[in-house]
Amino acid sequence: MKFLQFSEGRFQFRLETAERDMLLQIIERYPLIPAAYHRASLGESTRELEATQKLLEEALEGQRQETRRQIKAVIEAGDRLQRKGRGWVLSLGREEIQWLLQVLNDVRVGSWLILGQPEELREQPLKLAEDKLPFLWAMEVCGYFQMTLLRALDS
Amino acid sequence: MAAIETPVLPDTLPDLGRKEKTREHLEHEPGYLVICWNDPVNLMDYVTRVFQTVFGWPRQKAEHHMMQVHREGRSVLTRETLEKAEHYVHQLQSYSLHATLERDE
Repeated sequence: MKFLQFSEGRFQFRLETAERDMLLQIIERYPLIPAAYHRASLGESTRELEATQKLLEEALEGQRQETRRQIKAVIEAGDRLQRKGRGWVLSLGREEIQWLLQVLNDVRVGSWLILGQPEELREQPLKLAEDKLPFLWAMEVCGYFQMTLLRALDS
Repeated sequence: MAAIETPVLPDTLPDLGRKEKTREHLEHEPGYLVICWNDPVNLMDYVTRVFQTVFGWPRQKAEHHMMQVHREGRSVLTRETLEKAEHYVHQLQSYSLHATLERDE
């Protein structure tokens, strides 16, 4: 995935077909972080904080459903992910990049949780059961897409 | 000029007016810290970008807090009322950052 240009309010990226397939697979996995992962507070539980926890869980659930709907609408819109030559061009507005970053990071962190929250991600080789390998793949692929999007926003 | 007499308070004050703090009351006290905690999975550039987006901070301030999280394990991002702290924690968590609100004792 390469950032091509910013034109008419949209960032344009070129993707190989394999990258496009990977991106669609990642989006299908969203949301991956379990609802109970996020805690409102690490402090002593009080009635107020229990109410806050409930509010946050409900708000997060609603927001994730909305983000899923939004990002799928963007990807499925005919003019956003178009075949060009042997690859694809993805066109995204600034806000849409924020949605995609949320999706990618959710899948990255969710995959990391499933991998057992390893402290050292660069440890080689990570000792993993075969059924966990797709999550290591997803974590790395999400990081790769995230860096490309972040560099485009900074450009 | 008459001197102002300092009132002498009794050792034990009556409990009049002392009520258990309700959620409504707490919501108006800026006594909650919004804290971001370190983890090995969130990318540094991503965390900086989220701080910029959520708080509207310039890049330099966002990077300062990101580095504090990275080096010290946590950073206090802001001190707010319960309602605003909940809002910020929700925003940060929606970007999958490890953020909580804690009472500023």
